[in-house]
Amino acid sequence: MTSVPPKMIAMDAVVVQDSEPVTATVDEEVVMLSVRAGAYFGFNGVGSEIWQMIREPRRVDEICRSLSPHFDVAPEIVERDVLAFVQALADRGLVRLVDPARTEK
Amino acid sequence: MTHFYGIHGLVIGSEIELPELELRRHPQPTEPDVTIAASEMTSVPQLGAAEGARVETEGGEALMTVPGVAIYRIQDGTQVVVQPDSTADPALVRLYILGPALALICHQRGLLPLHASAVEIDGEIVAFVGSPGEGKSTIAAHCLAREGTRFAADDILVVTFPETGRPLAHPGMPSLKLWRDALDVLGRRHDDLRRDWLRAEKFHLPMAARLLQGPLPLKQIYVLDDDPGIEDGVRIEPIIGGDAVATLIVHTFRIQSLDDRVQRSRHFVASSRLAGLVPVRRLARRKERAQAGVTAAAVLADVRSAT
Repeated sequence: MTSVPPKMIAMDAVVVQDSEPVTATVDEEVVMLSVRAGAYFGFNGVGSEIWQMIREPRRVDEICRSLSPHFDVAPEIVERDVLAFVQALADRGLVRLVDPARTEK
Repeated sequence: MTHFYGIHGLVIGSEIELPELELRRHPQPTEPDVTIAASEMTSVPQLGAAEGARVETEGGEALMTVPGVAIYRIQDGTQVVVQPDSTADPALVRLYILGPALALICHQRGLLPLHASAVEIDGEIVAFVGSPGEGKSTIAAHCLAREGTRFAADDILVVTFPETGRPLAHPGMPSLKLWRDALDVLGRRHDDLRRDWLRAEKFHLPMAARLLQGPLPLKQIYVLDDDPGIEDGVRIEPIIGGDAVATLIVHTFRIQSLDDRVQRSRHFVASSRLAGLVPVRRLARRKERAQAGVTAAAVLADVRSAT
């Protein structure tokens, strides 16, 4: 069993879906099983939207920028919530951090 | 001599005669999907106070130990080898074959065994899931007291996904486990019925005349929910998305015995697929047995209004 200690996610971090969880979409909600984490997860609404966005590696601030126009709140609130969500995904091993240098070329 | 039975969409060839499956006898000896073999008697000592079945799984094989009853080796989705305790009652030995051992076979084969009772209503299957004692069998019995219904399964309901079309539900146990007052609705007396060993007040009711024989599309899954906040009547509401998937996962038979990565992933994929294809609905009412008839009437009306 390999377990990577959780990392703090920053706005310039690049994240991507981890390939370990088995995922499905039911009634527009994302549900997943992570055998490694020993748990089932599910999220709806914006959560599923973010999950779809990180099928390919994405910077966290880039996610925030594309979501912001859809919400009638200050960009800082969007940033705070997105960061918390991505951090929660990372803590559970559902996303991987990608080295930005390797994606910018 | 081998006895052949057809249940859960599988042909079972058993060295042990299973009178509980008499109504599911397979007409012709054939190559069975699953064999049940008996090996020599043994002693399965009782360790401590009233311990239930213990299951260990490894590499496609499950070993189920039931103190005072038997050891069951369940292999590759194709074989159950039973080693009975020399003092065990044969009916009790069979009970664990028909329940958990067959459920483990289903998991090994990648089938989805829901912990459900099911009836046919107008040519489609309606399934009832819920916590033990919630009244799955009782509601099923009350549905059967009405026109246009047949009995499909009790306890385990196997669902499969054909390449085209809707998920199919397969005929299961040919008898209902019922409480005494539910039997009265059907006008049956309980002194000539087979006793259910685990719960003395329940009885196996053979359903010969109104028994489903082949698979049919699964129309709806109801989750029985005892809601003391409901004064009277029945509330039926949809469960969607992740909640529907979670419901199906929780109400899978012997879900706790899936500890292998392949089985777990396969089970998750099947559960989420089913949740996407078949409506899951919460059936909330205050659980008083006197109201089971009202609940059944509400279910039939709900099923028949959905198209």
